[in-house]
Amino acid sequence: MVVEFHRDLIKELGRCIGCGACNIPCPTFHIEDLRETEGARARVKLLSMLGYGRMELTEEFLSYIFTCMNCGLCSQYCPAGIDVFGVIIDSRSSLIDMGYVPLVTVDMRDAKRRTGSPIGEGLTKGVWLPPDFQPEKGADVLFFAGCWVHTVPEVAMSMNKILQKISPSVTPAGPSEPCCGGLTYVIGERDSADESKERLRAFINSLSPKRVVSGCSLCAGIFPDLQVQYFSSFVEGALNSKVVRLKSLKGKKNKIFLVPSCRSDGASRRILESIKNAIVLETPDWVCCDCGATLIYQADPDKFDRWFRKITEIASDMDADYLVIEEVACYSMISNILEGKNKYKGMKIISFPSFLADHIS
Amino acid sequence: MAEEPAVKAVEEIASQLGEKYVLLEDLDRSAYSYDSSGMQAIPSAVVRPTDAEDIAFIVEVANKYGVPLVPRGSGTSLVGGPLPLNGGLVVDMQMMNGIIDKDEYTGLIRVEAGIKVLDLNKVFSDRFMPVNPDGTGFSTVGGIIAEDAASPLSAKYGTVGDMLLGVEVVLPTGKVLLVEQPGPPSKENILRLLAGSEGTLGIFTSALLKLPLKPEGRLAYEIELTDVSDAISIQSHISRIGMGVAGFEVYHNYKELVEGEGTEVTAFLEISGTKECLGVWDSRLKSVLAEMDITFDQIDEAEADELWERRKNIYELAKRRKVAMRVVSLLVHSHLVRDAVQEIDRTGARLKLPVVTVFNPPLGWVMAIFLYDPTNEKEVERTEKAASNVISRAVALGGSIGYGTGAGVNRISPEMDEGFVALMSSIKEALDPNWIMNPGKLIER
Repeated sequence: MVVEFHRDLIKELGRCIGCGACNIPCPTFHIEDLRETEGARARVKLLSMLGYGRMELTEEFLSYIFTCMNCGLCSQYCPAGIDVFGVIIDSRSSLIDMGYVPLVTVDMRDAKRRTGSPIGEGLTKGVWLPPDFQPEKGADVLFFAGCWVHTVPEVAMSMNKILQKISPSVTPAGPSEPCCGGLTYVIGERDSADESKERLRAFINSLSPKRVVSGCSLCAGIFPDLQVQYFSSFVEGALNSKVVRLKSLKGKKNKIFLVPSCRSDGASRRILESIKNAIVLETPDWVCCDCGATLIYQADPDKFDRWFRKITEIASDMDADYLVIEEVACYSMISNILEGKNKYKGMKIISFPSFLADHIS
Repeated sequence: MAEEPAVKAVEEIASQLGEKYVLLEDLDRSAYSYDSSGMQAIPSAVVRPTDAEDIAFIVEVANKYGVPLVPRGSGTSLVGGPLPLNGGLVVDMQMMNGIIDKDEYTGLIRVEAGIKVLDLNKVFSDRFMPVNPDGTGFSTVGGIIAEDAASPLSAKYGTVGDMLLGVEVVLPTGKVLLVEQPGPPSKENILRLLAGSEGTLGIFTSALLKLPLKPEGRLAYEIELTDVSDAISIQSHISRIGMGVAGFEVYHNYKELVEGEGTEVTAFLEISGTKECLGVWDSRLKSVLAEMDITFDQIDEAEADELWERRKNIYELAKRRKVAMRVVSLLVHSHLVRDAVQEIDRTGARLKLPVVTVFNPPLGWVMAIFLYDPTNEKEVERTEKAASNVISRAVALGGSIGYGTGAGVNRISPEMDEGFVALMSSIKEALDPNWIMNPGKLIER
């Protein structure tokens, strides 16, 4: 199959100096025992070879380029200033524009067309709200939960409860909440992502809230122009201005291994560190997870499972008592692996909002 | 996978190591076909050993079928060290990445060869110097021993070979040997031979290193120069007064290229030792600089650690100009550094390529960094021409290639250095009669 990337993309791919810095935070590189192919550097190098006609595009190659954790950490590590993740997304978009749609994203595309969300069939939004719920107009805070949050009603309720402690006027977006398009954006479906984003923008405008708090960090990180604030940062702001306070942890088993959101600004860690008696363990650079992991979770569940086993192995070696998962998307995926159990290797597996709900007043 | 012997070798290795430790797919082979040099060569397969026994078996099979083996760490070589030029199997060492034992009091540390330098540097960061203080550290320990890597502070602490007290090595015949200090003087020499042999004499599986203690005090200076020869004069003054320079690195053409203006030459210099020594050397250095009418800024001791990370600024250059880089590392006699820099400048001008030169006056180590547009085929060709021109000019000056990075695919030919090539070939023949271990690197057969 012939591939012709645009000149700017080829030039950016060709600028890679091959130092391997982007492999350091790359989750798939670590999941697969530091196998070069699974690292961010290989993705850039192989795309470069494809762009220069030194490799052929096969179905396997196509799946490979689309299947990573989509964490975006690689971009933060490149000493040559290449937006590694941006280049990968750009390549995916170009391939789609050329008509090369990988089989691994077809299900996601279909799900989005049929249900409005790429995360799959069976998603009913707002089940944690009263049946006749309608969002209020002009609220102080519009709570945009994000697709995955609706799959874990108890966490959605914890988030809503925390937001209500912070602000007297909070309204969830509810069952008619649209998908933000963040996930479709990272898998290169540019047009579909733009369409989703604009639909969400119109939805927000129709409710005229003073601010929007998102339960999905991917949405807040990928689309800064939507001006939605991620849940953890919003809560940190409220803690700093003393609108709410944190209660101390009781007992002696308080070692926390945090799995942060990949788009985290560090708010979740700072919040946990400020809880009295909490010991927040150091996590390796490559440990993070958010909605971007959906593709691997769906297309290569064994790999997602290996990721989970690997991080729990590290946490368990560090004698962690809690595995706190910041991003609800990730918590939901892990809950499915654990078939609803909330203990694993002696650790309590809990979402960050639920943990926080127990310790905020 | 093309060659029949390689197919057989891979089948045999897979049956012993397990299929998951042998990579045959096109994607995997392509992912192991590059390093930081910009060159490419695709292996027949990739093998991923987890211990010395695995490697001994791989070597035995490779000898049986005459298949080349190419050891690879993180693939950060600037000279094509881990590229399988003649096909064969790449031996990926990254799964052997543990710390075997360590002593916080002496700075002795024994590690598996596939551990990353940045992970090693973290272990004793409070009391001991990092192995490679230039702020990168993505390479593996095995890789930097094989290339006998140098750093900006090599003037004081030497190269990695100087910190090496022992290795476990799988020889090209498959024999696993431990060569570890203490021992007779010749043992040290054997270790020095293995360090810098560029994977041509064996595969390191583990290493015993002794890290240097951090000095009591450090003083660092950023010096603005008007000409390369100023740096040589400073070096000659400080050598004459016997001052122990820890690091002295000079950037030529850097500011001009990055900012469009500024001094042609910027230098970073560090002295370290006891507080008393530093007091004396500081005032002597300042009088040397005053005599030469040279301006400088003193850098806080707290910031000295980050000083040598400034080499990463070269990446900044590539970032701002949106170009790729080709690095050529040379060693010349210190008094000829200026001539080498001039040759690099001339080459850049003649071939219309921007070039930054980084040199280390106490060592005579010169690195030419050519910047080019990777999408412009003619520019890529001119860059390769520039690299080979610079190498031949350095050799004409009595210099050599390979210091700090290894010679790699550039190879040292008999025309460059007849004596070395003859001796090294004899040693290679004796240890690796089938020339299976990383052929095509360091020397020509």
